[in-house]
Amino acid sequence: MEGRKAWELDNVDFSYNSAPCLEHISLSLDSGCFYGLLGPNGSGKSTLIDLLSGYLKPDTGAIRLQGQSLHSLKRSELATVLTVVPQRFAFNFDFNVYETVMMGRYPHIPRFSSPTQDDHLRVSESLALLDIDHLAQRSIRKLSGGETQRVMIARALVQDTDFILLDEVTANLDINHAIAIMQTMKALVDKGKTVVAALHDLNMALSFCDQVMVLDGGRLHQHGIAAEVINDELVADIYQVASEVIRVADGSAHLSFKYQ
Amino acid sequence: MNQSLDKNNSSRSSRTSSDGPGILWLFILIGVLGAAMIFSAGLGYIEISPKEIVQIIAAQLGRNLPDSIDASYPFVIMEVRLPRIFTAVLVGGGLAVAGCIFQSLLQNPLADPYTLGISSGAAFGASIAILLLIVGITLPAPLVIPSFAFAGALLTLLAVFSLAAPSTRLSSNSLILSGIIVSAILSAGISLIKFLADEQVNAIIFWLMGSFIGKDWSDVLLLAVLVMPSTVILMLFAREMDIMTFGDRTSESLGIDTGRVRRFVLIIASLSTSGCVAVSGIIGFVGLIVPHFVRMILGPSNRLLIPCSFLCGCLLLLGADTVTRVMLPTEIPIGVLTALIGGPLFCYIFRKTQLQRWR
Repeated sequence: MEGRKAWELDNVDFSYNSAPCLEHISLSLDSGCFYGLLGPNGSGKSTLIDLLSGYLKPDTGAIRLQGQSLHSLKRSELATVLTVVPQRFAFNFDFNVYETVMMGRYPHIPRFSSPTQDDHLRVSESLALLDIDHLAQRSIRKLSGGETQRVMIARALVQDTDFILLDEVTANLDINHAIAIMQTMKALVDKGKTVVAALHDLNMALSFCDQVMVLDGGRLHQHGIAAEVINDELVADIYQVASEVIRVADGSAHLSFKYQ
Repeated sequence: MNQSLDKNNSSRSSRTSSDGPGILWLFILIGVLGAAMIFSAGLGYIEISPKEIVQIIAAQLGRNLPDSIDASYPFVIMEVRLPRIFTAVLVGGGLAVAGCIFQSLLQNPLADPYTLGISSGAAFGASIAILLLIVGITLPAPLVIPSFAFAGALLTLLAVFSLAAPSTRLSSNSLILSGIIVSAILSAGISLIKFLADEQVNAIIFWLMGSFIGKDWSDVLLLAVLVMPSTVILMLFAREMDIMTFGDRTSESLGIDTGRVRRFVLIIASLSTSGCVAVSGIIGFVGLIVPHFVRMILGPSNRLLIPCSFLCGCLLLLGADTVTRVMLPTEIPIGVLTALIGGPLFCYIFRKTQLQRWR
């Protein structure tokens, strides 16, 4: 996988009801990398995730995945290579956690077939990995926000795709589970998968992402290696907050914010 | 918490997605329905034993009719009671399945087969036909009211879909809203027709309340052609409908073309509903409560929910129709009876599950 292009965006524009949302986005993302998608609220992160997943079509410009036009691919084909964990879900019925995670195997289970032993094993592994195996029989509607988030990540993991899109999935999680999920994603990237995660936590991006893309007001503000892009200047520029980069002995860095 | 997918975790969830109990329910329901249909056929002004009914049905299939059976019984069973029973059963099953589909696909537990205005459309069509008959315009076919009702339902469906269509994915909200708007317009139209019908308004009101009186095999045939294939087709989409309750983003990331599936499945369910309404008038409540009731017992998975709702819908309307036909001194409209029987029962079960939820 490595070395091949994952997504390529050529001059992509998108607007909701003629209100511009993303403008002139050109990007080239490599396979086998962990990308952080940063930017303030309303900067267009979720819209970009929707464009990368093929949920939305750009008004102008082209989006390719592995060299192929994203919208020329059939949905069912796309589902075997690309998954997305959206920011919000609808839970109107009492499916239990196990059933919900099993739905992630849908693209791999032919019509008229039942889940195989392998499908069940993958679901069980994914539940254990996300620390939700004790909730297997619980209704999805009786979970906390963080538990729900982990169920939906487990659902995406059993889909077993090379490309993973995450829209602020750590937002509802406590620090323990947030770190664990980022570590899980990092491990997947090490095995050749490509992850794009919209994030608010700049320190998470610094710790885990190889590269970051920063959106501001619907435009691509910066794109580059996480440690080079994320600094006090960027934070002041984009978020209007004073900060300081603190380097620690092992060479890693983190941001410390200054406020009264 | 484990940190890598490599870890060969053999811990299995206690859950092994077994359909066993669900399949058992299916067989039990099929058995109960068969028995209930034979039992119901025996009840009425002339009481006929289940054994005699089986012998009469066997006689239709070429066996000799025993001499002990009164010569009028075969007519009573084959031409009067069975068509009515089959009509009630098919309408109940069709409406219950359509209810499941509408609730799943519109992601709304309050939806029923009439949410998209099909009932209003059918009622409008039927009212026009009745008004034409009242003013003395004779229409050729004997099925004139059903055909007007069916046409009304289909035209309404078309109107609702084209109103909601600009939303690329045919979103639930725009469909529900379009259904409400079109229904409101049609209701005003029905009121106008009732006003025009003047003293003969009863014919319209009675049709609107639904009935199985005087149904014959042609009604059963129309229903069988619409309801049975739709139910089978809808069962094929059970997995998609399960996933679609989680919203469009999740469904599409799993490879489901939500717009196409929603349109196709809603059209199939609506055709089946239109057939039911055209034959029997508007029977509310079955499509709303049966799926809820079955979901409470068997869970929300459409794979079992659709066939079990079908069978429970059959049983509910068969029961209600038998009560009104046999037990009551005068036949009250079936739609009224389903709400009167099913309503309090549903309230009781709903209350009980709500209490369990908060415990």
